[in-house]
Amino acid sequence: MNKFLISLCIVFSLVSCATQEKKSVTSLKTPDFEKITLDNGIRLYLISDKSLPYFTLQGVLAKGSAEDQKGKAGQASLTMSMLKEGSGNLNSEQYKLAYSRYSSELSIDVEKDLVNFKSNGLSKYSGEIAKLFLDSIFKPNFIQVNKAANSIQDFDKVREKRFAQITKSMEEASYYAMISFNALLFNESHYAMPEFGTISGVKKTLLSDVQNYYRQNVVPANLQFALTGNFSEETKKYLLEYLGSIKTESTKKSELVIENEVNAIETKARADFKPRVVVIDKPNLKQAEVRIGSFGPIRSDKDYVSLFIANSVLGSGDFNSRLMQEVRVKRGLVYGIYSFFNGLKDNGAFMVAASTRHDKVVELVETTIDILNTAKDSGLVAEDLSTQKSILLGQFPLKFETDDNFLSQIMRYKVYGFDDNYIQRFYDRIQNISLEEANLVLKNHYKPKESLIVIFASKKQLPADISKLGKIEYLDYRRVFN
Amino acid sequence: VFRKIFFIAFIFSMSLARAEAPLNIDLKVEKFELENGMKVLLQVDRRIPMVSVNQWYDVGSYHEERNRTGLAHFFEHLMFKGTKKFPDGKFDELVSKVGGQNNAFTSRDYTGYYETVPASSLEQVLELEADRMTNLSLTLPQIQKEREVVKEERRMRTENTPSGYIFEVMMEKVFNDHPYASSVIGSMDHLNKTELNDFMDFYKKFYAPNNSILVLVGDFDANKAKKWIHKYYSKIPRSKIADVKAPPFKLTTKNTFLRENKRFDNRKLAIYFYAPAYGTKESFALDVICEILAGDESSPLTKSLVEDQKIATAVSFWNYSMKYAGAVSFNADIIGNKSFDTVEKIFFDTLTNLIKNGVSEEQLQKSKDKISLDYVSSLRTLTGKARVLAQSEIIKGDYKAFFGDLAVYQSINKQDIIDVAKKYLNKNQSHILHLGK
Repeated sequence: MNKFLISLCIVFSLVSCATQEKKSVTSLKTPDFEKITLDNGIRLYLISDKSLPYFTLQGVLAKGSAEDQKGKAGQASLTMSMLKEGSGNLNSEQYKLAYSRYSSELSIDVEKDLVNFKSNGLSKYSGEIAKLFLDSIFKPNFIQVNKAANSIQDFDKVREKRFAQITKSMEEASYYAMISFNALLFNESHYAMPEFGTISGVKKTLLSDVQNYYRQNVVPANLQFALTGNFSEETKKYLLEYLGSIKTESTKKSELVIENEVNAIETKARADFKPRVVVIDKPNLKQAEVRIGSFGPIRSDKDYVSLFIANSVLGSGDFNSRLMQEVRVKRGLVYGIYSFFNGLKDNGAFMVAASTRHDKVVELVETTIDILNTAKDSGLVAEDLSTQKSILLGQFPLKFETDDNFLSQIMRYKVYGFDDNYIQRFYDRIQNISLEEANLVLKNHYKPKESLIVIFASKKQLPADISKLGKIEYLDYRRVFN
Repeated sequence: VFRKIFFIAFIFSMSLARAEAPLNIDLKVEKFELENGMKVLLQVDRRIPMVSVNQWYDVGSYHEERNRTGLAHFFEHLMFKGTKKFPDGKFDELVSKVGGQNNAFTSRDYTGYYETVPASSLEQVLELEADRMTNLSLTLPQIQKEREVVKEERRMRTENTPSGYIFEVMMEKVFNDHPYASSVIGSMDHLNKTELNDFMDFYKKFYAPNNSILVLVGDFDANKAKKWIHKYYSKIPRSKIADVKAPPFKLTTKNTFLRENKRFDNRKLAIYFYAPAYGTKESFALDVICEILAGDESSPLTKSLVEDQKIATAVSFWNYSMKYAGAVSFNADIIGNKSFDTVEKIFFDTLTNLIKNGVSEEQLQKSKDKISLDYVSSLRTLTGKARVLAQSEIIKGDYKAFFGDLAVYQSINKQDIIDVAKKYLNKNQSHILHLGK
């Protein structure tokens, strides 16, 4: 059990002021792992731990919903759903039964820039689950010509289900407010549409589109895998042989997305942005969801980590963060409030999220913008930054608490162009950032006066003084994605 | 409340238990009790240099007066409002400054406060937890502000969310005049009425060392931890804990039907049943039934409703077991305006088939494997381990019960499944809600 891992020698006083910056005073030892890069470009990470009869096999595909063709929102997500409709020699029903037999499943999470695959199970089934997992990704039925008829039926079923799921998501207020905010902010950007898709996008997406997405993107150069926990040597060997046998196809330049076009589209989306206040009206809501934000830096921006640290002083969601203190503790307006920078490959966003009773929406928005303005103009207080650094450093080991979580982060960093030591540099940056540096990145990247404000609420319950926030645009909730 | 599960054989020697299992799990737990009655569990795990500190109290919404629902949860919020030594805001501030995070939760049976802190800060956190156990100081303005926060939490979790709304309504139907009927968050009306003296009475009645358990899991020196525990907690006197008597449960054939078509648009069907208490073999058998019938995409209810008939996007079937009783709930997200009645019929036909034909050996085994997997998963993190230990100790009076659970699961046979389905999953005992337009 005690095989790993972290030794943290925190030397600096945890309650000291933030004047003693720039010293690398803490050493960090991350879990040891084995990394194998196969001839075809697939990377495999391994950590063996025999302490529990449990193992995890996971993968990351370095392409996500941002690759959806224009007008076909949901293409990546539908492609991934088709991976679960049979593979190898198994049809859809047999495949689900087989996974079930080993008390496991393939979970897939589609994000804007990447896709996560994961199966876990009892160690005694590691070999069987590994085969199902790999066949799902590399031998799905829907790309096999001789299984065309069944694939059409399976795809129709997946699509029908998706329509219902999208409709249902309109009643998940927090989620719907977030995807609406993204749609209104990113507008024509590749990042505008929800990963899950839209009704019109799913309608327009055909089986040939998901086959095309698969062939273009699910290729060795885009794939990484990680095997952790208590697995057998046979399973490791099987995994290496299977992955090694995957042929490298010359990756055709994607018909879906062309690199220089991406940059032009993302640049234009930022240039076209105008501050707006949009009320998305849904009559029977009992509480208003509020999102405030703007564009932010991309994930690989040199300021990103500094900004993450500085912003967490205001919006980490901890009780000590400035937004929580003012908006929840002092004013009792919300149950929770947080802010974050969502840095993506080719674009980025900043967002504050909270929910409140309808008659307090104006106070919530004004207070939040005041706090952001003050931070931008006057900067942070040294003690606040010091406290936040303590929290970030103190909680850092949780990133390694499980090996699968640790390797998931390593693979994710790789998608954004970072090497295996990035986690150490991230840690070092938390230690070293000075108050001046934190204030500078906030000054450069906070844009409260240029905010998009999205209020997902019942229009008739909003107070008359909502107009204090600016010119209000009203939008029926069913029209956001049409 | 998380699932409880598992099995491990254990060897117990005075104060140190070593649990070993067919699943090859080795978990050393040290248990002792202070003179004032506070129980302590220590589990050293040095995988990361952190400690999960869990201070749980044997009090939940079950212990509230019926005209003060939400009191236990509201009070949980107020436990962060300060003492003479550590005034309002200091608790969060000090935990943050040592690099820790903290939070709390309330259930029907218990209330848990927890901190995840660097190992070097353990003593300070123990001092903070001990201090607020006995020295809490509240003011009316604090209560008034926090009242609004709690009401926002209620709007978010229950009023704006179909699943939260369903759970509140259906638990009331299943438990009727029993304290379990009330939602943990409480009604808006009661939240508005609860005053300072209600909270102070509640504090005096239930917050004492002899009604609490402290669980530490992580990278710490057990001898030092014991020294600090004695230093900060031993001086707190034990007190008389209020004895809450609830009406006895009776399995009746009373059923109810509700139709709500104004609040939410999408159709959802919910069917609830009364179920036995946590830790009983019958309750475990119900867990197995839920797993067999709707545990994954190939299980009968999911396959029929989602895959074959395409009437629902998702279904769930689970057993929410508590200290004194439980509720089994089936939920279906119905597609468009497809029929409630059809889903209902398929659900009850599936149950009838199970009672008539039983389950296969393969179904039984894979459900037990799944339960074992969930059990192992819960032991993968410091906080996960601390919680399962605390939960078993609070509910069953002995953390070791947790290690025995899987043995009980493994002993469940095909006839147990039929017997328990007949007894508890009867249409005449069901409570049904049709939600949506």
